Amino acid sequence: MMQTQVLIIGGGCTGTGLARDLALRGIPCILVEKRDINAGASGGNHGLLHSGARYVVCDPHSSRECRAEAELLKSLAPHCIEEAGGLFVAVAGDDENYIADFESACPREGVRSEPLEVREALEREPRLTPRLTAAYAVDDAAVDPFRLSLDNIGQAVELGAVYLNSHEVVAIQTKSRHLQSIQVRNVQSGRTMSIQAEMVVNATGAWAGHIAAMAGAPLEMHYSKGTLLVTHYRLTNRIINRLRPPSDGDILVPGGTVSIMGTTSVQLPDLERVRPTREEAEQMVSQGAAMLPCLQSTRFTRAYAGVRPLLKQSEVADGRAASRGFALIDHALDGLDNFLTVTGGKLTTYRLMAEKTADLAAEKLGIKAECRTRTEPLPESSLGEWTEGGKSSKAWLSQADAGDHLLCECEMVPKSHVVQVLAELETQQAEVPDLNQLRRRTRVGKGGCQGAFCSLRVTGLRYDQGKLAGDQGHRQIKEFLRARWSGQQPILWDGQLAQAELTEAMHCGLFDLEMQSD
Amino acid sequence: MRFGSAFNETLMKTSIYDDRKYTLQTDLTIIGSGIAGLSAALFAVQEGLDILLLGDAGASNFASGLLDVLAAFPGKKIDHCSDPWQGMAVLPEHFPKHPYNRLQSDEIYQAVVQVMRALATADLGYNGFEKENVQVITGLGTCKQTYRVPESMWPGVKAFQDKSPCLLVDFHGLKDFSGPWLRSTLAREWPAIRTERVDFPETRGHSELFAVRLAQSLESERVRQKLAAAVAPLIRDEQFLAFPALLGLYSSGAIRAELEERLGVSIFEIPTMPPSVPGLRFLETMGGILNRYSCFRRESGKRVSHIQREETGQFALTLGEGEFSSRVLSRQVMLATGRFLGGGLQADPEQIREVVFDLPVVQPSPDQDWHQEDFFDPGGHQANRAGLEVDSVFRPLDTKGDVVYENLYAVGSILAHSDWMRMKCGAGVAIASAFKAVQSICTASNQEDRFSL
Ligand SMILES: Cc1cc2nc3c(=O)[nH]c(=O)nc-3n(C[C@H](O)[C@H](O)[C@H](O)COP(=O)(O)OP(=O)(O)OC[C@H]3O[C@@H](n4cnc5c(N)ncnc54)[C@H](O)[C@@H]3O)c2cc1C
Ligand SMILES: Cc1cc2nc3c(=O)[nH]c(=O)nc-3n(C[C@H](O)[C@H](O)[C@H](O)COP(=O)(O)OP(=O)(O)OC[C@H]3O[C@@H](n4cnc5c(N)ncnc54)[C@H](O)[C@@H]3O)c2cc1C
Repeated sequence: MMQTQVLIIGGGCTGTGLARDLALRGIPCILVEKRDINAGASGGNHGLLHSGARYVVCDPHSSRECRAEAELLKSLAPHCIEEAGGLFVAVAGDDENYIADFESACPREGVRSEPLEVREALEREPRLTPRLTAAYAVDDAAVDPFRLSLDNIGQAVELGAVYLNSHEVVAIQTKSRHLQSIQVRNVQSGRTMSIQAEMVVNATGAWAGHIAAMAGAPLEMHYSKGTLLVTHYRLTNRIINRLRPPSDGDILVPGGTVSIMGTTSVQLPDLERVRPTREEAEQMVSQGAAMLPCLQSTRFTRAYAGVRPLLKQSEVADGRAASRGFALIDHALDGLDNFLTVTGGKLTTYRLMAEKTADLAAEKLGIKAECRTRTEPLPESSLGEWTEGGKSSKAWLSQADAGDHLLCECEMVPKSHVVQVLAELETQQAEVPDLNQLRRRTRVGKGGCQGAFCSLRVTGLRYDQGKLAGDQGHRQIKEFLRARWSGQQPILWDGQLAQAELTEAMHCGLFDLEMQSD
Repeated sequence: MRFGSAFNETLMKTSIYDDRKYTLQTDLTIIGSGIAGLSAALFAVQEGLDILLLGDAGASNFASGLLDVLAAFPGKKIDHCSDPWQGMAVLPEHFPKHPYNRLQSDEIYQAVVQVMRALATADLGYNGFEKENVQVITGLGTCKQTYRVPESMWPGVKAFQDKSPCLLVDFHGLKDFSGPWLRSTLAREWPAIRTERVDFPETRGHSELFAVRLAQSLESERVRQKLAAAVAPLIRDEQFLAFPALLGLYSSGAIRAELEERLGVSIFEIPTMPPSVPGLRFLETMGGILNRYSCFRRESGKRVSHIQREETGQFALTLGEGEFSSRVLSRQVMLATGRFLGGGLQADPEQIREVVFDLPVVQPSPDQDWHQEDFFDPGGHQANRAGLEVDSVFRPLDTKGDVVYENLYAVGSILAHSDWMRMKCGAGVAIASAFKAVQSICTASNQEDRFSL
């Protein structure tokens, strides 16, 4: 049994941001995450730090929140952000009225947007279609969500917070208006334990309804899946947005050495199977090609998907939502005094969501402590150091140590980085860290070969270190390749299909891994 | 499965024959020099055909050097077959369209043996059992079933069978191989394996070593001597000594024999991740054998950029582009261009195409998924069964089921209905189909000769 003041459920950007916020206020907390940092929507988005322009017409409130938060983050967490700038572009046939609305709404909401001549836009981004009809420059930026969450949890842990990876909340006991104890299961060992907390915060994004239901509080969510595609090379310097009401295949965001194409919106009945599909991938390529014709012949290395945490509208309408952008719910209204839910919102506004939640939690606990995340810079943690595309390779090319060598040749990830990240993970958890955890913290498995070679080299290293035994290696590789495959399967044509053939030739054709037990 | 778009007949316009236009005339042009193309070339030169072999790196450049014939049936669950010939007997029932069904089992056996014999004349021996697959331990500690293994791996097969004490030596900086991985994975089954890691001779200052480079450096006697000196003191009572597969590239037989003599133990190699040295030995050795024949010509590095059919029915091939292109006139053409990795097939989001002739490709229908959701699905993936449909002597068929050209053949992994990765039949299908196609060419040209007499 563990005890703490605040228990946070969910290790996305909201939960990790909240852990840091509370820790900076001196409020002890435990964060439990059923899978891994950013295993939910926080790892399944574009990484676009919104300037506000995208919502300026249809959701001015969110637009304002985004603008203010983006400005703050640019100054407080610059190492997680690339101030790439963005363009909004319309192509022949796009709705003229929307363009006019956009032009008038930007100044009204204080969103900077500078009209460009088509020629100028093409000079800045030569891959854009010459069939542009309008273009505006905006202050959009790219943010590395993994780095952000790892740095947030990194500082929180340094300040005394406890982070439990692979710990799933499976049941909640309530007693006279109180969440009395929270049952948590270690999904790797299968062991369960209970946690008691004065306050419980449900920060599980799209899963918020599940947790609320365990406590007996009604909360209905929409499940809207979005799929994204990763290109082999970076296509544009800036973020490219289609200047039309948000729809499929209308955003391209640079992420270090690659570009991320998004997205779609598919309603799911539940959260059982969140996978990108081939139809979505094809649909997005054909839609996106209207702005960027090169997408038709671009090599995509993988697809991934996330579920937007959207509250069913009725919940918002009955007035419990603290804001239209995100929802902060005090379940006292449902007869539970120490239970809050924070969901909805954006990656861009995660800090604000954490601040408001911590304010409410502190107030209810009777603690007087000011928010410090609004003014204090986010320190760089060593865990988040190697998530950025191109960074490992730069470090490798400029100062490789004698005795070091590359385990991932596509993304140039040296052994020393892998050893460092795994060692740090080991200090945080009792279980042996696996390849999927390593992938979320480095570029391992993210390059052209999608893990075919580096999975073997890293596993070899782990046996050399004595960290793996028996057939654990086979199991880890199978699990890892299965996870990578869910992003491969939708985009297998052209070069990436040949790559997949090589992967299968190695792992099944030669090594017979399909015949080894899982 | 369905056919992709009908191929374009107009591409094949005939033209007037004029032999001054050609730099070379030949009986048979083989496009592709993977296992299939090389085997076809071998069978053809042994029959005295004038041949031209084209193509460079393909899937075979990543191959392990192990020679699979048949070891598994994918499906709802995977069925193993330890005797490939028994498997062959039930193949028509389970996989009626599999390329093997166009041959008798003993023809397939003959074909494999013919390749093995040729390799043995060039110091690249292969070994195995007649009616049973061999179990070979891979660098991942898995036990792979295959039909023939290079001689250099054979003592390992015996050692594993008897679970004999064995020392496995690997090298600092060789990131593609981990002895401890193999040892730990097999600890229960083969407890008598011990591992040691040493510095590879003359690699100080190199933190990153590659198997192919090390194999090349072992061609030097000085390096071999140093390696033996480094390993000798580590051997205790073991009768077997194992290395990752890198004991020489060109004269591996002699190199291994010399090391065995120096160290007084039986030495064997363990297959590594690609690029694998034994796979490259296969390609190199086959190339060397073919070079002994005066009727053999090779143009590597040039792609076929254009193909036309002459009035006579012969094929006019343009190799390369522009100023440096050359033209070849060929009585027969054999496609051995491989799949997606080799370059014989190409896919866009809508469909899979054959690259050189744009032949119709049998492929999953629009409502069928190309790939399963689980990478390791026991049934394998539909896309891996796409390919060319052929007649009984491996001539591609059109959508109506008719032979496209009576003098065009297709062999190897480009053929439909054979998922070599899951059935473990890669080299076997390549060799068997090449064998049958060459036989047919010879029969056809004998008949022609009789007519012209
Ligand atoms: C396709 C797509 C694109 C997007 N693009 C952008 C963008 O470009 N910019 C932007 O600002 N926003 C974007 N968003 C929105 C943004 O990603 C989300 O709003 C944000 O990531 C939500 O974070 P979160 O921490 O609240 O939820 P999540 O990141 O979903 O975190 C919830 C966590 O809870 C865990 N959990 C669930 N159940 C349990 C349990 N029982 N026990 C323990 N843990 C549990 C999950 O594993 C998960 O890690 C996008 C969203 C999607 C889907
Ligand atoms: C990682 C890996 C491991 C393997 N392990 C084994 C194993 O253990 N056992 C086994 O039996 N098999 C194994 N194989 C499989 C074996 O290599 C295949 O069965 C084999 O690749 C059959 O190939 P192929 O000759 O049909 O085509 P490929 O080897 O792909 O050769 C295709 C050839 O066609 C040429 N080409 C293509 N297009 C053109 C063009 N337009 N013009 C000119 N030339 C062209 C290419 O350059 C190449 O030379 C392995 C393969 C891989 C990739």
